[in-house]
Amino acid sequence: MKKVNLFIVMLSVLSSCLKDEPFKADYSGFEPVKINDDWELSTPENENMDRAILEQAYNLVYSDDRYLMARSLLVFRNNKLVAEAYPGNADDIDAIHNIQSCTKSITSIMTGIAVHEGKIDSLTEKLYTIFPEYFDADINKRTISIEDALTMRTGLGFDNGENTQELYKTNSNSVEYVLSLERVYPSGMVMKYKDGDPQLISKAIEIKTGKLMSEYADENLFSVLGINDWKWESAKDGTTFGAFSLFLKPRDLGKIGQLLLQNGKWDNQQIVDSTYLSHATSAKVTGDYNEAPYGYYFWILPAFEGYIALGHGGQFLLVVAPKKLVVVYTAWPYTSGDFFDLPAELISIIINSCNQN
Amino acid sequence: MKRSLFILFFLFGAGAFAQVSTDSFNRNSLQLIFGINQLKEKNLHLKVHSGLITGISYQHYLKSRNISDFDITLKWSRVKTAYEDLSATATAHLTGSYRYLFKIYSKPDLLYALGPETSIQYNVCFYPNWDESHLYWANHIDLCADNLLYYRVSESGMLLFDLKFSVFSAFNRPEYDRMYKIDNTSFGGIINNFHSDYEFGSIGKACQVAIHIEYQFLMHPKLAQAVCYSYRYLNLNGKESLPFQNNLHQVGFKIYFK
Repeated sequence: MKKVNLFIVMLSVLSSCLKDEPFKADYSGFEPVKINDDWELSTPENENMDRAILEQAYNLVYSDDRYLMARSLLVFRNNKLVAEAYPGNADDIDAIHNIQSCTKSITSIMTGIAVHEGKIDSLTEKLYTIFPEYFDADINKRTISIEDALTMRTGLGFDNGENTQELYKTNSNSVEYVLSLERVYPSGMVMKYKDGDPQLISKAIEIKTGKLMSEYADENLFSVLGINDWKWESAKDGTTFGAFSLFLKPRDLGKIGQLLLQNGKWDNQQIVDSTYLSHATSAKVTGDYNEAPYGYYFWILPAFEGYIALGHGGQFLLVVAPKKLVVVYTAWPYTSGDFFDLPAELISIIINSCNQN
Repeated sequence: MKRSLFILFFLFGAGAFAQVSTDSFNRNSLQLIFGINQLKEKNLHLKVHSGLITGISYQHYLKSRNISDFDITLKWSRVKTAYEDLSATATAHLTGSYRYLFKIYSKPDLLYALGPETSIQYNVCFYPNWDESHLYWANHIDLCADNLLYYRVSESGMLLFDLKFSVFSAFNRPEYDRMYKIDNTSFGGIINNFHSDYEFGSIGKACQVAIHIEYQFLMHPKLAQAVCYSYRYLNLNGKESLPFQNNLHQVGFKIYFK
C-alpha cells in the first residue's frame, strides 16, 4: 500500500505542469459603472446604437485569440459613456496606462493650446529661430519649421528601431541628439513617421511657454478636463517626451477625445485653437509605411469622416464627429508588432453600431 | 591518463563498481542538467512559457562531522507560449546555496540528515514578443529546510533522496505597472533593480519546493557517477507585482570526485 502511495506521489510530481489560463476575465457585459468622475452614463439604446453590433466588438476584445493584450474598450456617444469593459483586469478602470504613440496626438493638442494662447504665432516659424543653440553646423537643417515637425517632414534620419532607445537613454540634450542625426531628405518634403520630430515640438512648446510640456499640459489641459491622475515621462535632460510615454486612465483619454469632438471647447471655454484643430485633423501628408493620410500627429480616416490617435499595442483614441462618437482602446503597451491586432476591425464594428442621431 | 580514465568511466562506469558507503557525500561534484522549464509570468499574462533548459552545476563539500556543502548552478533556456512559433524568450537562472545538515540517523546502509539551507537565486527573463522594453526577474533569497536520505541499495549503488522547501524568503520582482517605458539597462541600473525593494514572506508569498532523486554508481573510491532527476516548483506573489510561477523538471548526469 505504501509503495502504491509512493508511486502515486512520484507520478504526480513527474506529471506536474503549469496550465494556461485565459488571457482575459470572463465577459460580463459592457455596462459602465458609476465611479467618482464627470462622465454621464448611458446605454446604447438611449444613444441610438445597436447593442447587438456593439456586443460583437466586446466579444472580439474578450476572445482568447484576438486583441490578446487588451486592457480597455470604452465607447462614448453624445458626450456620454455608453459602454466600457476591462478584459485584462477590472482594476484597469482606475489605472493609468502608457498610451505610447497616442502621446503624439496629445503633443499636437498642446501645440493647438499654445497657438490659442498666442505663445506660437505661426506654424511656419523655423525651429532654428526658437532654439538655435541645439542645431549643428548643417545649415540645411535650419529650414525645418514647426509644421514640418508636426507632419513628420523634418528630413532627419531618425529611425524608431534604433534611435528611440537612444533618445530615451541619451545623457546629452535630447533635442540636440535628434538634430544631430543626418539630414536624409530636404525638410518639408518627405513624411517619415518617427519619434524624433515630436521631441522638437515638445522643446518648442517648452521654450515658447517657459514651462515643460508636461507642466503646460497639467495647467492648460489636464486640470481643465479634471484629469488628476497622469504621468508623462521626460528625457534625461528634463524635456517631456513628445512622442510617447504619457500615462492616462482610459476614461480620461475619453475626455480628450470629447474635447476634440467639441472642436477644442470644454465647458463653453475654448481651450484649443479650433482652426489649428481642423488642420491637425485634416490630411496634410501621406504616411510613409501605410500610405494613410496624416495630419498633425493624427491619422485621418476619410472613409469614416473621423481621425485617430494610434499607439503601440494597437491602442487608439478614435473621434468620429458626424456620429458624435469617441472610442478608447488601450492595450498592453510593450507587445511586439506581431502580437497585437490593428484597430480597423474594431473601429468598423463600433462605427456600424451607430445609427443616425 | 586522466582522459583514458574518464573514457573508461563513461563506458564501463556502471559495471566497474567499488563498494560504497553512506559517507560518499564527501566529494565534490559536477552535474550537467537538461530539462523542461515552464514559467508563468503573470505580470505579462496568464499563459505558460515552456521549453528546454540546460545548465551546469558544481557542488563543493566542506569537511564536517555532518554534511556541509556549497552549490552553484547556472541554467539557461529558450521558452515560448502556444501563440509563438519560435522560442524568442530567453531565461537565465543563477543559484548559489549553502547547506548544513545534521546527521539524524547514520548507519552504514542508511543515513538521514536534516538541516537548514540558504540560497540566493536570480531568475531573469526577457520576453521580446510580449514586452520589447523591459526585463523581468524573480530573484529570491531563501531559508529552506532540507531533508536528505541516503540508502545503500547494493554493494556499489546508492540511492539519494532530497526534499527541501522554503521556510522564509526575501524576494524581488518588477512592478506590474511600470511607470517607465524602457528599463535602465546599464549595468548599474540592472544591479539596482535586482537588489532593491525586497519583500519578505513565507509560504503564502514565496514558496519553493524541490525534490532531487539520484542514483550513484561508485567505480573508484575517489570517483563516482550518478544519474539524477529533480523537480522544482517556485511561486512568488508580491504586493506590487502579480505572481511568478516556475515549474522545472530536469534530469542530470553527475560526476563525483575528490
